[in-house]
Amino acid sequence: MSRMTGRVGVLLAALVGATSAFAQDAPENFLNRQLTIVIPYGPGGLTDARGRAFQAHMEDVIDVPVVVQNLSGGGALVGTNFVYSRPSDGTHVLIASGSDGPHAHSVLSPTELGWSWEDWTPIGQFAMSILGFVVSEDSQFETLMDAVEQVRKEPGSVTLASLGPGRADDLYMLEFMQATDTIGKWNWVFYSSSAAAQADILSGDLDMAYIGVSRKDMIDHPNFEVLAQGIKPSEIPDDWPFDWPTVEDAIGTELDLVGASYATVFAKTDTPEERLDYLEYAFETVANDEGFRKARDDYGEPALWRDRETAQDNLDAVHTKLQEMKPLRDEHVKQ
Amino acid sequence: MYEGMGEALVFLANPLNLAWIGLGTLLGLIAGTLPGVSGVSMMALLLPFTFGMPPETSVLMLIGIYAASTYSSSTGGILYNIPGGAAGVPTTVEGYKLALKGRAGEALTTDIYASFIGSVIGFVGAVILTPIFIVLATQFGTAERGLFALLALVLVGTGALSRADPLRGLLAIGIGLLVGTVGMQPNTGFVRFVKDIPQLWDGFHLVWIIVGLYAVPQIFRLASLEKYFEAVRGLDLHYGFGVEFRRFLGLLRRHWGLFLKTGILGTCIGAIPGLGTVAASWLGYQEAYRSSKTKEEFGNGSIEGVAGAETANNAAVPTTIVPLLALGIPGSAASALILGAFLLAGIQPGPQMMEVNPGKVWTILLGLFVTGAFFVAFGLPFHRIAVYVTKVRPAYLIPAIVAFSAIGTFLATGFELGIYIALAIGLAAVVLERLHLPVANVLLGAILGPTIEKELLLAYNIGGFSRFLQPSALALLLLTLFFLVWGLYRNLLPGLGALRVAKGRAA
Amino acid sequence: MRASPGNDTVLGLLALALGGWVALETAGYSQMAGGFPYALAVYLIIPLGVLILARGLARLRFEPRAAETSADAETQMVRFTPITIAVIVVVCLGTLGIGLIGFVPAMAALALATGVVFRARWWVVAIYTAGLAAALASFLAFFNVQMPQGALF
Repeated sequence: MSRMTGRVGVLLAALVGATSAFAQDAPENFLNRQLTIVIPYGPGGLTDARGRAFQAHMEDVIDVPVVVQNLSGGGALVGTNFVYSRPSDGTHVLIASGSDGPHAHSVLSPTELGWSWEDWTPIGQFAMSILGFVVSEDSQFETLMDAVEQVRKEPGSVTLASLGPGRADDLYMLEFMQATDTIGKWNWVFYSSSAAAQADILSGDLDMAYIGVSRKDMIDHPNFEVLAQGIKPSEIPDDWPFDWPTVEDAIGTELDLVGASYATVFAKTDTPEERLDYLEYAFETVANDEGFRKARDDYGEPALWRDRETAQDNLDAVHTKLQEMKPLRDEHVKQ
Repeated sequence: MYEGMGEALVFLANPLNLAWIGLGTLLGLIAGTLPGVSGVSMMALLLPFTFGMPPETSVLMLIGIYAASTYSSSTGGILYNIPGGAAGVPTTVEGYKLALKGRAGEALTTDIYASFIGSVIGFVGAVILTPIFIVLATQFGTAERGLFALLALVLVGTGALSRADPLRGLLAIGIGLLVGTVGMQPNTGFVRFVKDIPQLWDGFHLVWIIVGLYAVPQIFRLASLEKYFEAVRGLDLHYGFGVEFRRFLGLLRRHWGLFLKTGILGTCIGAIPGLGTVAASWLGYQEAYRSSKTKEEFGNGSIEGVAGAETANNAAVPTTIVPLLALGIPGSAASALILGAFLLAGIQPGPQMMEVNPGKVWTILLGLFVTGAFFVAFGLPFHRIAVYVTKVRPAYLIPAIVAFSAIGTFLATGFELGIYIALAIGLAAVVLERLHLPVANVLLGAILGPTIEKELLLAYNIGGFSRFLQPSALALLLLTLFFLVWGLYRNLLPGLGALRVAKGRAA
Repeated sequence: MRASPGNDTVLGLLALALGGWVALETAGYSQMAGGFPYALAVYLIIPLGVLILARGLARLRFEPRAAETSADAETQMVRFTPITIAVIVVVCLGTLGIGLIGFVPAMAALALATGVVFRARWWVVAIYTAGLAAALASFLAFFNVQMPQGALF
């Protein structure tokens, strides 16, 4: 039914478009059947929520149904490979976070890939993946530097968890450790999810964890204390709800990877330029939509929009830095 | 903590809200009965539909699905030997044998009432014991979770499941544990066995394993079972509610202690993060076996086994949500989805929720309770029709089972390789069955193995061997060792008789 | 339900092969990554394989030959009758067909073929196939499930 009205809508839009092609400033809509947003994880998680938020608000803009396809496995690699296997016609886009997009897989994947980073291009970035150093409420550490100093004084005395291993998060941690001159001094362990690490902060197994904190309940959670958030001080938006110190401020050093993590919409580079333009227009329109912003805000993750060019610069820089640091990871994260 | 209960009661008294729980219950019953379509899959399917609904409503529907599918995951197991989810496997082991003897009606009735009793015990337990469970959840760290999974494996593996032939039982568990090691080693990120297939880096999905071990062999078995069908056709399939209910009351009178014990057991296990309803149903089954006076019935159709497993897994349902409601930390796949629905609705679960909005907490706990009543109301009429499934000709049953198994398998991960893997596991399972290897043991190993390996290694990485010497871990460690030795001595050595018989004959 | 001595022997050999293969494969992994499966193979699977094999051989040598599997046990197992084998082939082809011709056509073909194998009445099979295809298609459409469409079409 909705597909029928969708088609009628497209027809009408095409008619109107044909008569007033020059009057419109929106790029031409090439979508005639549906837009598929591929989520490289199962339903219910953070990435899924991001994709579904677009689904809910996008059909009004593009006039065709939006389908969310969950494809889990391989730490987001299965979904990425799937989008790559589709024709480069712009009908399939991939949603990934800063630590599991094609820019990260192309450096970190343990297996040969059928594509390289140059085969992907961002449509834009719409959310910041905020990770933070979390301790329990009754922790002995008041600040991040307390923990760093403790580790310098007594190597191995602080158990620190991060998400992984095998993800870009390994390198965020190594960058932080390099900057604080504490590589090899932490009792560093890996968790597969933020929730699992939270549970073990409560059980006392972990002294500190670098995990997702972009949920508003973390602000005044009675059991947890966020010592620092991984965001670049220069990139904090005006209405940012989290007022924890940034990692850079806490340790007094500038970092390249920590805080450069954005949720990104990806397409294949060889998609026709005018179609990439249209996709950027469509996603940007939704990202700036009032209802979308409210829904994202309620979810606990404020919406933002960074255009293709900015996103490309950001991801290229991260890609280069990841390549640079990979030998360090191979040395310190032993499989 | 009891303020907000009134608000919740008023909310639930609204017919529209009851209707949503009813719909969720119905969908949960369908999901659990269809082979391969798990409750979690059904919740995931419905998540998009919950957009725009009032938050409590969507959450109510999801928990309706969750609770009802936990109960109904055993219905398909009883009727055609294909459990809808891992929590239904122990009941499948016994229930299908009962059905083969023409006691499908009795098995289904025991299943449904035991589930209801379990859900009542679980509800009461969650209401009274939540403060204790919160403490428990914060006491259970890596070592405790790993050791508890190991304890469950030892209890069940050296007990009821390996009774017929201990060597085969243990071998099957070992094979299951090996199946669980396929894919990325979680502590190191190293990919074992399947480095070039990213689809398998997360290992074999539980749904693939269940469909492979149960649905595929059953499809082939149906094709060769003219005799069984003849036998069933000759049986009286009439299903009388009154007769069955009275028979159940008899069972309840004889074994009320079992219901109470397994109910409390399930309630406590549910509160341990990461184990949930599956471990509860196995341990409930084991407890039924341990305390049974008719142990020889186990494996050949024991109604006590059905009662123990079903009471325990449904009792675990309310408490599996406690860590989510009380701490904001999801302890299972199902509660992660419920958390997702909360967040989409702009509600942040966690300790504040108990203080800021106790009404919502109560709505969920009471909603689970209402679901228990609903699945009895919907399930009973369904039984009358369901027993006739055993009469459907294989020519029509087989394509339907294949199709829905394929959908369920596909839904689990979203790629078709899963369907082929399930088929391959199924063909292997046919060989295993020809060799008299119990497939339930393989499944148990595959479920508990990854938890045991991951948590114990993590605990070792965190605190070395001394981590296992902390009081709670040490207690679990000693218990595990005790039950291992005792289980081998008491349950398994007598079963080793075959060797001695052979030797005796030789002498 | 007791297995035959020959059955024991075959299972023992299979267990040894599986355990041996896993041990060889994981011996090359690091201790953290390979320790668990290696230990399983060496300390559980292989010893059990040896025990089961020994039992099988002992029984083969000393027990009188007899049909040991009861009729009850037999109903628990897939027996390879011509019909079963035909069904196995149909199910395997139908499943593999999902990737080639798409999910609903593959399942419809499977339903038709199963009807033929069981020599059911043609018109019942036709109605049933159509009904199943319609039910599956509407299930997928309602829940918006993106089942494979098929590479051939």
